[in-house]
Amino acid sequence: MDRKLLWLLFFMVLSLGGTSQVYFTRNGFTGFYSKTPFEDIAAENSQVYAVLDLANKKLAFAMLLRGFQFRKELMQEHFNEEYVESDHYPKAEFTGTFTGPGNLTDPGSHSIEVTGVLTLHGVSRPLSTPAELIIMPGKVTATANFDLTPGDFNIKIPSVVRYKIASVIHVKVNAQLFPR
Amino acid sequence: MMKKKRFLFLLLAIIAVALGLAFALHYINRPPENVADMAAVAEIQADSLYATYLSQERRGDSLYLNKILIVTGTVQQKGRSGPHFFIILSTGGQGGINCEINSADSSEVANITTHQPVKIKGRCTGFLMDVNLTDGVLIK
Repeated sequence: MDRKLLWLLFFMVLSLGGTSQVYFTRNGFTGFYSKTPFEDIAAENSQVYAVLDLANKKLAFAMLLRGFQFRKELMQEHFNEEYVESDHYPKAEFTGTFTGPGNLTDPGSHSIEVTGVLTLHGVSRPLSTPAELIIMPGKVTATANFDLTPGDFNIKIPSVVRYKIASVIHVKVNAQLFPR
Repeated sequence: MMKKKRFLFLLLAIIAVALGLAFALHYINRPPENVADMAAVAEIQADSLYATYLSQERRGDSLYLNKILIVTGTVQQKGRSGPHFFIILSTGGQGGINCEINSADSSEVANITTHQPVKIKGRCTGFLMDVNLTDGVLIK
C-alpha cells in the first residue's frame, strides 16, 4: 500500500462516525519470536504506526519491514532479501475492528477481541486475536499476543535452514497511543 | 620419516578445517554492524530529507533506502517504545524524521529537550508518514 493510500486509510478511521475518540502513535512496538532447539530468533520494530478509534471501535496498524532489527546481521539480511522480500513488499498492515464487554471508553483494563485483515508479503489474510486495552486519561495502551505461520503469507523458508525457524512464529504487539 | 610427514600433514589439515569453521561461525553469528563505525553516504537537513520522500518516494528510496545518513534537525518529540528510545525531528510538514535510537545511546536521550537542534546518524529504512531511521546515534 503506498503512502497516499495509507493516509487515506488513516483518514477514514479518523473521520468515520459521530463523536470520535481517536488515538495515534508512530512508535508502537512489534516483536516476533521463533524458538527451536537449534536457534532462537527475535526481531523487534519500535516504529509501528497505529491509530485507534475508541468510539467507533476501529483500528489500523502499519510498519516498515526493514524496521525489524535482529541480533544477527545475516538473519536480518535473509529476512529482508529472501523471506519477506522487503524491496518488493516494504510494509505490513493491519486494519480491523474490536469488540468487548462493557463500555470500552471507560478508564481501566478491557479485554477485547480484534478482527481484521493482515497484509504481509503481498498476501492479505483474516486475523482474529484477543487483546487488551488499558484506558487512562490521555493515553491508551494496546497489547496483543498471537501466532502467525509464514507459509500463510507465501513466505518461503529454504529447506537448508527450515530446522532453525519455527513453523509458527509468535508475535507481540504493544502500543501506547495518545489523542490525535 | 613418512609417518612423521603424514602426521604433520594431518595436523595441518585439522588446523585449517578448524580455522575455516571458526571463521564461518563468526561470519554467520556476527552482530549487526554498529552505525557509529560506518560512513554516512549523505549529511542532510531533516526538512530536505522529508521533502524528497514526500514528492517522490521512489527517488528517496533510490538515494537513501538502507543507507547510513546523518540528519540534522530540531527535536519535535522524544520517548520510549518497549526497550527502544526514539526521537522525532520536525520537518515543517505533516510528518517528521522518526529516529529509533541505538540502545548504547539511550542514556543520551534523557538529556535531549524538545526544540533542541540535534544531529543523528542512522540507517534509513523507508517512508511511512515519516522518514524512518533505525540504529540512530547522536552526533555531538
